[in-house]
Amino acid sequence: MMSLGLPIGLWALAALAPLVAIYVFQRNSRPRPVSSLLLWDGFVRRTSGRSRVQRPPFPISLLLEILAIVVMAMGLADLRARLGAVRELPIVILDNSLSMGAIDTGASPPSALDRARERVREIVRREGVVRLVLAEETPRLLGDATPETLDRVCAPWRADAPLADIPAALAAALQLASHAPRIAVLTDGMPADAGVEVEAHPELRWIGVGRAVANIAITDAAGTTEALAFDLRAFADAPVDAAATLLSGPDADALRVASTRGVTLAPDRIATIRSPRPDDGPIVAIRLADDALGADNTVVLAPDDRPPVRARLDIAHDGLRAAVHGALHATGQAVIDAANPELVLTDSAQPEITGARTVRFEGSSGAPDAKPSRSFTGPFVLERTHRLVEGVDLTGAIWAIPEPATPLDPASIPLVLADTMPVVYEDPSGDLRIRIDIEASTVTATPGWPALVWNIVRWRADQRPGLARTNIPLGEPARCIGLESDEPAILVRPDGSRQPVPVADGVATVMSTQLGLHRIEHGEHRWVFSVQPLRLSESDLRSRRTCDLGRWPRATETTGFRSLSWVWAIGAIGVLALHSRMLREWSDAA
Amino acid sequence: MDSDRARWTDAVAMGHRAAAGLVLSRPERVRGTLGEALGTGIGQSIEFMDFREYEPGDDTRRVDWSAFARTDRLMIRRHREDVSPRLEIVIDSSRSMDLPGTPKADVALALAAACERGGARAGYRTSTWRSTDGASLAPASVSQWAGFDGRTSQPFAAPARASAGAFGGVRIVITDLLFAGDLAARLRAASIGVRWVIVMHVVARDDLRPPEPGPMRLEDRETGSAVELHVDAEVASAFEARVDRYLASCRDACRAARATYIRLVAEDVRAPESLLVPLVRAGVLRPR
Repeated sequence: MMSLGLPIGLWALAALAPLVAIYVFQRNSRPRPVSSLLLWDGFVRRTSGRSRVQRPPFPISLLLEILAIVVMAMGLADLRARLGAVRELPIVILDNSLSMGAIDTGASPPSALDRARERVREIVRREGVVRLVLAEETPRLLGDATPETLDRVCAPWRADAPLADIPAALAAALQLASHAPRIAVLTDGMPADAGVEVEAHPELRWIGVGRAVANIAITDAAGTTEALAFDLRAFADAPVDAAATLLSGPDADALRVASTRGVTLAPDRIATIRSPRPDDGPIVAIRLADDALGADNTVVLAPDDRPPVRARLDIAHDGLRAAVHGALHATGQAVIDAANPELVLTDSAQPEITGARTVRFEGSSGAPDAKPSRSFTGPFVLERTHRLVEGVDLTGAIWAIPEPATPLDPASIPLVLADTMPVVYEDPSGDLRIRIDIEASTVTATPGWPALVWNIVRWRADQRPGLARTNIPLGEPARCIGLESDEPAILVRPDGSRQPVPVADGVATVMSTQLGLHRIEHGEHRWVFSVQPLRLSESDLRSRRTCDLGRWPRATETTGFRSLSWVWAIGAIGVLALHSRMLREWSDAA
Repeated sequence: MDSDRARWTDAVAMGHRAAAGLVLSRPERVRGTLGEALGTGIGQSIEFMDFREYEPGDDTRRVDWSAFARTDRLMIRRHREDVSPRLEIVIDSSRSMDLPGTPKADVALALAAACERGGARAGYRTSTWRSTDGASLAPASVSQWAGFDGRTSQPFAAPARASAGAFGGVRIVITDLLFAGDLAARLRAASIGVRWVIVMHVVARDDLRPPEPGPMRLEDRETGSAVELHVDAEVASAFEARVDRYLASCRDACRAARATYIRLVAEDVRAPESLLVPLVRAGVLRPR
């Protein structure tokens, strides 16, 4: 049985009429007297008798052209073949976010993930075969699962993704489905939380396996070489007592309890806990007692053991030198090292030092013919996308620049403009220039000044080889720069698995789905970073629900027609190729 | 027929007009019967050529006595010979020379008439011949041309009368060279005893270019046979290549036989002012 998907395409057969007409008219050869057939000898096949006639190969070529038109018309009309009774595979979307690992001791089974697995097993058992899509930051097709292969196909479903984009997974599932989709979403939330209207999707079934439970989470953590600070939050409707245990040790497998801090958490309020950094080892972990969600109960802080930035001050102006020195000292991340600097802050035009970044203050020249400086009180325009002006506030500042100002290289990147005058900019070599007449300016007395110097120190520190950040939220990439060669680096995950990571232009970017300490190895170098959960949306379990919304349409043994467009396309190409080949052969023969 | 005769008459008149002021060139050491034209050899004409020492047996009437008186040496005055060389014009009278829709026949006749006129002015004793379906040429007259009706082209055959021919003179063959066989061999045979053979290759544009694309019935003008074929780009390209080879072979055959080869595309030279330009350029005709 065949079926036409687009019967109007049969109109293409109308092209047969003009084709045949062309052949009919073309077969009436035009007579032409020639002086002699001498020069035409060989172009035609000799026949017996006086007349040497070669009939052009019209019939065969005409047949081929008719065939090509018919094939193309079939393709346009979408002639389909019936394959018999076929059932559309149902598609099940599996929420793989961290919150699916929540535990409710009052439920059976307690884990939302296990409850979801039971439901999907039911569906597979009922349907026979189910197509599975994993909902993460980007949807992932797991494959088709039968009761026998379900566990193997579902192996990546571990509730370890930082989030699950259900609408994106739904869109992917609709693309995978053909004409009669049946889609189920297995998650722990309600459709409204994901922005989905079940009523608008008759093919959709929403199965919620979540339970509204209270949860305590570590929502932020940071540390220096001397101190720690971390935030705790209770996602509960009543005050909750929590105990945070600090552990430290030489590595993640050998942590020892250093101290325990108890705290009563008000509902939805954040409690920040500060503590001296334990000195049992560079690795520090903060751990809460077991509760509904285990993933947000532990944070491992990798050591931020980068040394301070070595800075040299070559500033002749006393006032400017004092202002810069004070701000540098305040960062706590820079030391004065005149012999081997990484950062040179200068107000002279001395040559640059190899391996060091230069911040050059362009002040008054002091020449007798120098003009008075030009002062600006704002508005100041800051290039907010650049990290050097992050947090810099120049409200109320007076910024004076010397006149005449040194010409600006067109390839420079202005970072701060006073009116239309660039006062802080990055020159084409990547160094920083600051135009300022310190005596006529009040910038150094504003909060923007230490922020600017802090950013300069961090800017320089981030250009060192290695990781810019050692504690990274789950789902964000870790970027390791300054690698000496483009040999692949090795990522060692918390579970010990190793994965090669490509290196391009000395940069390796890695993304891990595992929580905990990771290590990047490249040649002799080792860098450690920690992946932390720290997702508020995943820790708040109060809106999780158990539900079963929507009904699948009855699984009709629908259609069974499969489009044969590709067959017609190949057929048309084949016929035209044969036509072309035959014409060529006839020409060659002539 | 009357219209054809009118055409021939017009063509001959055009040839005569075009040849005004032109004479047929003469090759070195042209020979012929005693005549009005100066030869390149020693003769009896009044045209002085040079002196030489007297030798026993010389005609004493040619001793320059005044020179003897001045130099005390017997010197013989030498004069150029008077000759009347033969010019033989052969017109290919096969049907292919009168291809419908082309001025091929008109140009052929006009060329013959011009050469007749130019030859007469140069002192040639001119005879005109036409090819026949037989093995020899037939006498003809361009002013009373009988038409192009031959079924074969044999313009290099010998004249019907053995006494005729261009022995020691010039033979002009006006033809489209559309015949099978070894052209070089025929030219060599036709060149025996002839001082100068000139082949005027008259073709029509349609002889050199392929027909329009599409189905075509090609009818041979001479034999009446026909072929049908579908002309496409490849056929056209192959035909053009063949024409190029054919033209090159004609030129090479003439060169090998030391004949002067002049190709004239009828449509390009149908005007009186352009008819004889290729001949003047080739040195066949020159201003008087």
